[in-house]
Amino acid sequence: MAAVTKLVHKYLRHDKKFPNVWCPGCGNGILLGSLIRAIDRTGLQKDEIVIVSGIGCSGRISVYVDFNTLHTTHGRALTYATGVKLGNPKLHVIVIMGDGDATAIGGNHFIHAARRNIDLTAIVVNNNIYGMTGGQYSPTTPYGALATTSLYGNIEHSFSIAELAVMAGAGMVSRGTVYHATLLDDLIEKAIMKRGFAVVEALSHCHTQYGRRNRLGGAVEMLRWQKDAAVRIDKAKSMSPEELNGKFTIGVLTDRDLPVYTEEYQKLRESARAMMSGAK
Amino acid sequence: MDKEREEEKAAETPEAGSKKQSVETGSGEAKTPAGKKKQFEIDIFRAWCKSCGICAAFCPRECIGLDEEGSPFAEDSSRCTGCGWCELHCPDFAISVREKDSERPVN
Repeated sequence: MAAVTKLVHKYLRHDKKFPNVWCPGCGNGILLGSLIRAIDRTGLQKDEIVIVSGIGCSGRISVYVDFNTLHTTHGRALTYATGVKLGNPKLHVIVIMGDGDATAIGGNHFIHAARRNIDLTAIVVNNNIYGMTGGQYSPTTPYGALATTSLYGNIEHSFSIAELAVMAGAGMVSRGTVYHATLLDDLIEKAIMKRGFAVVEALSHCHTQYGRRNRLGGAVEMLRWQKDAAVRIDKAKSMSPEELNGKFTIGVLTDRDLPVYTEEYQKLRESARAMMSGAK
Repeated sequence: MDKEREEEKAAETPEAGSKKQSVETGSGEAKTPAGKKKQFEIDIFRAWCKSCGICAAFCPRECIGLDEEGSPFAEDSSRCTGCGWCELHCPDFAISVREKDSERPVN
């Protein structure tokens, strides 16, 4: 049996929810494939994993997978995930959010989860626009780009999600694209196994809302753009700023060992209990 | 006694070898001797395919073509090297590449 069929049968609710609702050629499907391959490589049992997702096209991922799943309110995926993780620290909690979900509606939760360094894996699917709600501009829509709410060009500047997470104090931050699917498998696998807050920014494409309005072509052309504009982080170090103009780096941006919130909390509980038993 | 046993073993081994060979040839072309190219087959699951055209556009050996309606089909699977690019990038899990004459996927 082909490898992909085995994985689909093992990890996806293939007999109920497929074919998926996404537009033809959507990057969310490619990311879902990367996610199940990465989970398969970690060797974790299905019951050890919780997938939490917010609202948006990427929020549908939790519906298709056969793990413990939570489909939560807009922007609050990280808060629900924090609760799950603190309730049972043995679980591996993976949070899937869109760009608007993570940096606009849930922007505060995102930077504070990173600051606390809670042991979660956050996958942010960045497609530069609010796709599901009709193509409004999001915090990652580039300057000058067209959207239904910026008919004359976007006058705001965009967030760089990965760099934001680095500055906010996340333990591990990486960026990949759905074109570089094997790299994305590696990045997600590393992020799941990382102790601490691990962010994976997965650059995707929305050809229906963003590509068509900005004359960037369909799914194929937007994937080609990802291929051309992405530079591996090792290679980027030897390139000049002029050469890197209009490009973005992919790979692991930062990997550091910081005190993890869940472990610190456990230590605090134990020391408080010892104090209480000493007082008796 | 030992010599006899050795002779028996020697007599057995070629037989076992020939049995194995016959099994290999019986199972088909996939297990051809080293040096010959492996053959792959591309299966497209039509019920899930949305005809986005990613597989046909990016196949490095141009094995996959698009018909009049834009649906992909395996144009020439003899060129396929089994790289699995289409399998990795199909957003709908509708394509799988397997070695020829290997076990068929259970539907």
